[in-house]
Amino acid sequence: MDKKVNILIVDDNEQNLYLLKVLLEGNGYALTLCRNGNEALEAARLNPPDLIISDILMPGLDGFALCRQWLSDEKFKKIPFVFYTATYTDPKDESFSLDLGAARFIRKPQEPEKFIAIIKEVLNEYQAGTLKQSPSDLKEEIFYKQYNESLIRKMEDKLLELEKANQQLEELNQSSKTLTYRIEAGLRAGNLAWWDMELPSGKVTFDNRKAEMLGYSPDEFSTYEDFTKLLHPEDHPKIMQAMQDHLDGKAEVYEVEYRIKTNSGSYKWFRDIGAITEKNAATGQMRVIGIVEDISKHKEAEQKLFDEALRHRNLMDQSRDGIVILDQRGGVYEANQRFADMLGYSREEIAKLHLWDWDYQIPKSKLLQMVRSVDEKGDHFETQHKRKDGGILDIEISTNAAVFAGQKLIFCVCRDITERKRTAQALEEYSNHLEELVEERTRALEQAQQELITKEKLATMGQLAGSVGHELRNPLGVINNAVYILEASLPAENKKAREFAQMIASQVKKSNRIISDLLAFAKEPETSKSVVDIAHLVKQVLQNLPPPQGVDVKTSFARNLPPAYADAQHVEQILTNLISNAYQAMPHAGTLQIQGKKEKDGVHIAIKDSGVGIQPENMPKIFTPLYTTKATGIGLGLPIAKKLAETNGGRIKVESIPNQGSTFTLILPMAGGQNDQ
Amino acid sequence: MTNRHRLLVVDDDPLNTLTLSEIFSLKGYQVDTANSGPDALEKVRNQDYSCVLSDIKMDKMNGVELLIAVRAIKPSLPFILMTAYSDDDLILQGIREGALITLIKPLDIERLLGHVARILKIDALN
Repeated sequence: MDKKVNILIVDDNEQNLYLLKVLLEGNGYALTLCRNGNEALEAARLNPPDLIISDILMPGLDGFALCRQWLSDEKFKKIPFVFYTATYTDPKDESFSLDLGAARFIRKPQEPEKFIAIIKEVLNEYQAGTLKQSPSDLKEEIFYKQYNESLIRKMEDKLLELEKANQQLEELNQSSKTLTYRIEAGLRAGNLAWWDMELPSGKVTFDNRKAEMLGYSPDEFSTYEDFTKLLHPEDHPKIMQAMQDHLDGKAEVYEVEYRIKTNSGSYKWFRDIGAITEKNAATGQMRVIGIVEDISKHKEAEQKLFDEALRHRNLMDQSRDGIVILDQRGGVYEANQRFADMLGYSREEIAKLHLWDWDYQIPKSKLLQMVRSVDEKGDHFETQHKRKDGGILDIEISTNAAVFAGQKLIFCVCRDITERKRTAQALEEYSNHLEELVEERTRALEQAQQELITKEKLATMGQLAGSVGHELRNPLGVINNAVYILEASLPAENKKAREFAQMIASQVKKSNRIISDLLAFAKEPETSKSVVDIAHLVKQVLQNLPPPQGVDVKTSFARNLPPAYADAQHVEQILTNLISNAYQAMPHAGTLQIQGKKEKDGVHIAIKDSGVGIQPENMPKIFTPLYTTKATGIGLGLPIAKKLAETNGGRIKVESIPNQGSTFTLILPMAGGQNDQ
Repeated sequence: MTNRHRLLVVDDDPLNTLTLSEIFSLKGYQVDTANSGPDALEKVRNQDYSCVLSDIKMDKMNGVELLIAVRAIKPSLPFILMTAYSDDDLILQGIREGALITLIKPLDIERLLGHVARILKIDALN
């Protein structure tokens, strides 16, 4: 076939046109579509078809009239005219149609194969020239009579159909109203609202109820922007993702929970569920419809449940006692961290254990019996548990049973009383020694009291010494002045008088030194500590205090000797006192050894003489003020040295052998806090 | 060996004023003495001195009070304090009020004479 067979179709019903188009095009025909008779005539004049298929009832020129004109037209009358109609078809219509001269009358509905067969048959006849189609020889009046009758019939039928359709519409309307009512009521009862979204434009229509649920007026909540503006910022990405997943086919429905701000400023939890309802593959346009539910109450309840579970978990986990829950077979159902820690297992390990794995004292059969016999009243007893590492713990257990999830479970609260028992034992041992201790303490107390009395005495004496010293300075001053005048006035040749005047002057100086010592001892020393180089200071003191004749001085300082941290003036005073004492202990001759070294408790400066030594019975008194065995001095040198050493955080240690010598060791804190103690 | 400088020595112990007056006289100074603060103040008012030497601890008016009173009428008159009390708070107060030197008794006479000579030399330069 070079050229396709062209068929003209006339029908005022678009759906009919469409169906015929699909059917005929599918069978290889070319088509021209018209909506009424006049259109058809016009189209046929432009391009005469090979066949025309026409409906009957159409606006403008109907099928009957078209057929009459068609067959009376010289140009068309040989072209086959086929009626194809369903509506209100009366047998009379068919005979009238054929009377008019139409080639065929096909009644709807007709199976496609049959329809096509008829069309082919007609076309074959037309091409073979055997088609019987001739214009009616009906008289004009008869035609019009039949034509009118047929049309009236059809109009009546149409009216009937319209009424029926109307009735159906009414019913439909009614059921739609009922449905809407039911849906509305259901949504309201369920605190739900619908929404309807177009994509990709993103245009959304919200049920007014959504605004109402959040306390807004419908105007305030009508666009997608209104929605995103009120959305909790954290939840926005979640919503986008859920929608994307649904659009991508990863999720069967679009379902997401999110927070949205109410008119009062607080947030409500909403859940959206929706799905694509329409999709145009060509344009990519889609429609997604769904509902939104206020799930704030569920969320609240959910949170409460979660909190409660957490609290329960915390209570168990933070318990200072070990908690283990056993099943009827003696296996661990659950144990807290503390219990695992007590026994030295991990929680994973403990979950696989049985009661007899740690309660080693009682035989397994007895333990099983105990597990089965525990009731809700419970039990309380002491036992011993074995740790993973073999260590033994004293344990106090409280147990009771409860049915949980259909099985009886034994709750055991285990307290480690090992320490308590040990303490109790130690306490008992301790009380046995108590008497001894009391005696010891009493002695120490007495000693402390004695020291306190001594200190108090000293303080009083110090005050007294202070005021006496000061008062003595005035008359000494006068003597001093007078001697000066005397010396100045004495003639140079009166040597004897001058000698005695000098004697007075030197004794005044000595008296003043004693007074200064007294004052120094009475005064509460103020310290100004710094880093003190001991070797340097010793050298300086020795310069001010040269050894008497016959006394040999040797010094040695350890290489690693650290500086002391003390008041330099005080240290100088201490060393001066100790060294001058040493000199005095060696009235005839001897060796003074000064040695500096670093010890654990500080810097040690030992001053060792080879002098007379101290008699053992005198040893306790040497630091007592005003105690002296010497003809000169008032017995304040050592007390002052001791006091100053203590003021600087140090002390003085004495070792002495009569007739061999004494060693006084000054111990001072190291600079930089290096002391080990 | 006399010089034109006149000193005022103040001490409530007359033996002190007597001996100090004798020492300064030996060195050629003219010396007046006073045995109380008010007496000394009266003398300062009526006589021009080159320097005042005063004990601190005295009844009625102590040396520092005297110093303050003297400052009020003769602000530039050199003033030396003497005391037997080495840790007296009054010493610090005296220094703050403008005492040039504070000496502790018994006095080192040579030192005292040296100080006085230097003070008077500086004063003369001024």
